Amino acid sequence: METKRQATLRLIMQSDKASIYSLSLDGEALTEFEKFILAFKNDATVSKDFAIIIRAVQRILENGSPERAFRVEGKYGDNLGALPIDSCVLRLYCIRLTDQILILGNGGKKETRTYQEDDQLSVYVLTLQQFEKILKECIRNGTIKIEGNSLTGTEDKIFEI
Amino acid sequence: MTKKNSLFEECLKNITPEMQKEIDALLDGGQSPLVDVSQALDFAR
Repeated sequence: METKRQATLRLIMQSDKASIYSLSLDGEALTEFEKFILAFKNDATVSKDFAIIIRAVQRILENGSPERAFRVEGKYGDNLGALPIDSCVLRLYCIRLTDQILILGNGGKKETRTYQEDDQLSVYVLTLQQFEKILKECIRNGTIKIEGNSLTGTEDKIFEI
Repeated sequence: MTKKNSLFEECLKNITPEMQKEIDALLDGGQSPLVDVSQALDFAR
């Protein structure tokens, strides 16, 4: 039987131009993005890729999150993307909800042709895809609202994914 | 209206101005090149 995970959405960074959220799974203290940072910040094999991703996130805080800043990932119709746009081994998966709202997931070294061929990366992408599906439904039924660069109604909400 | 993340801020400290310049050029290079219409028309003439 498939076990569902419990996710909460946390606002981790905000500027006048953009809000960046990340998922926290099963009550973990760290968000998926923070886990990504801790996993790769001292990995010398991808130090340049890591710096590129960090700067890409900083630019989103400075300028917003235009579509052109992301690599298209996932399936047609979902808002899944990855940073950076440039070809790097290291990828950070995310949901680009609007030009001002970004949800960061986890990521890793993409050493296979597609993320589907890597068990760990597949889990990261699938988690975001499932979360995005539920989030879209919440936005459609009005339990979560997009107000400028913020999401309202997400506080203390637990998403079963 | 700002919120910062200490882990992220710590990572930013490791990016020197030179590195930032290099990364920005790389990230901007990934975008569609801007076409100068007047130059393109001159070339066509």
